[in-house]
Amino acid sequence: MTTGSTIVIVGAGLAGAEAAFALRDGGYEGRLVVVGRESWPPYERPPLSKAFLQGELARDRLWLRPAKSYADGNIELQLGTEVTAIDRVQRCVHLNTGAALGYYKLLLATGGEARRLTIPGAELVGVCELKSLDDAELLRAKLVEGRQVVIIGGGYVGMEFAATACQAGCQVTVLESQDRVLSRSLSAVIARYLQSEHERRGVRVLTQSSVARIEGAEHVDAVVLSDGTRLPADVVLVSIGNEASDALARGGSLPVDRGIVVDREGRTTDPHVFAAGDCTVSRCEGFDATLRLESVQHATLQARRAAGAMLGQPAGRDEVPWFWSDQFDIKLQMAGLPLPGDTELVRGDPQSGRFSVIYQNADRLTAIQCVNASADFAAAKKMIAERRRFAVALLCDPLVSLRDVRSSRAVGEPIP
Amino acid sequence: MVDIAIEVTDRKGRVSQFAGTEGLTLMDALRNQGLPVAATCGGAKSCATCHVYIGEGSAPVGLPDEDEVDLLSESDHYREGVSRLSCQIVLLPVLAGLHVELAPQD
Repeated sequence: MTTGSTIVIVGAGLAGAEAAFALRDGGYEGRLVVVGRESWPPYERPPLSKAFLQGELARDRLWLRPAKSYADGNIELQLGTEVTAIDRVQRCVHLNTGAALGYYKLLLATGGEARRLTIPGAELVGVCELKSLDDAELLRAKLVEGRQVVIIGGGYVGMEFAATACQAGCQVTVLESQDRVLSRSLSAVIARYLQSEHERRGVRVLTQSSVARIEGAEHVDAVVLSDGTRLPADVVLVSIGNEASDALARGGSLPVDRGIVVDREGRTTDPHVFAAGDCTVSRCEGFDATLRLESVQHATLQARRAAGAMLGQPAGRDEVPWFWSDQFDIKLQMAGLPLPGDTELVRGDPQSGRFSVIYQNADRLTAIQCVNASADFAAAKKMIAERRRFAVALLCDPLVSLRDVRSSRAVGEPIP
Repeated sequence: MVDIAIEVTDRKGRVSQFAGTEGLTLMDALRNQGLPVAATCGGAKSCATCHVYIGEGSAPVGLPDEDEVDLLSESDHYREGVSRLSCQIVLLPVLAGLHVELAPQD
């Protein structure tokens, strides 16, 4: 097996594509192969639950780069091809075509997979997930006015899909096992606001609900809860989160902890193997466990860093993690990572439909979550990067812009 | 659908001309040209990584709305009256001859 100087990237999603172009930008001139399981060229996933699903965006507007840019960059796309195993001794990957590809450096950018339900009826026709372009095309055809849509899981994908289905005229019910939607990552103040805005527009949200089974002959008819409630359904979306696609790494005996364990530059324990994007977990300051950050910003940053590390280039500066979600006309923008025990400060009146929740501890402002408050979001990103405290009274005063809070000399008073 | 002539100055001062397809956003058109526009949020008006300056005397691209101004004005490279998010500009025939400059990255 000749490995030469070939770099192989497994996964043709955002992280894979970003890394490929970053390698070329970084001066890498050797053979560069991107292997993708899906038949589509690298595309943007965020619109799949929003503009694409609404029919506002055609398929060819999803491509991350025009087709010719891969040819121009001498990047080989092997689409519709699956990597079945990694051989770290021989330094090659095995493909489902029977062929093997030797590598000098390997990047795993395998992303994630929608977590599956294991209850009776989960295999019925009409029970869907929303992860890929194919999933979105299938669902788009089902969002017909008057249809009964039941969504299992009130996370970002579930809530964005609920908004889109509601706007398409469907009868929408969201089933959430916790006592509020988006409980994993979002402030309770914002989660409650969002739930009430969904309800005001006709979405039914059932929290603390437990799904017992899905009924139907061949096609789904209804979702049945453990308390016996039967919800008629034409379409069921299962949106209970994603799992890292780390099977290849596991098979190759690389450290895995609900995701491929990497350092801040995407290194695994094997100097020839890197990983980036949703398939990875890494240490984050202030947290005991490794975290898996699933976002466009994180995948992009990590892909560029891994590309730099492969070429032996120094890592760039840190970036404050950020994320967004659009539901109806509500724009959610989040930056930073709240730490356990942080004080939660509400800035502005939730009733006004424009407010933010700020997280601060004894040392620094750690995070912000904004509802229709882009100015807060943009200013707070810089405040988080400054790694210091700010005066609580000013943070909570919506009449003082965060830009002014940032430039003011008032320091955060110590927590009593 | 017509092609709209666009002139762009990149961050190294290199000027190039190309034709953008009517109906696309300026962000899409710049990216399709292989220009280094990060456009991380893909046009959701949630970041400011597709920031451009509209050339003086260029075609009328309209004014940014409040959210766009909020994002732009926090940039270290904001220029009032000149800065726009390219994702918010839809290419129309009236924009023929548009000149834009890529703003530095924050």
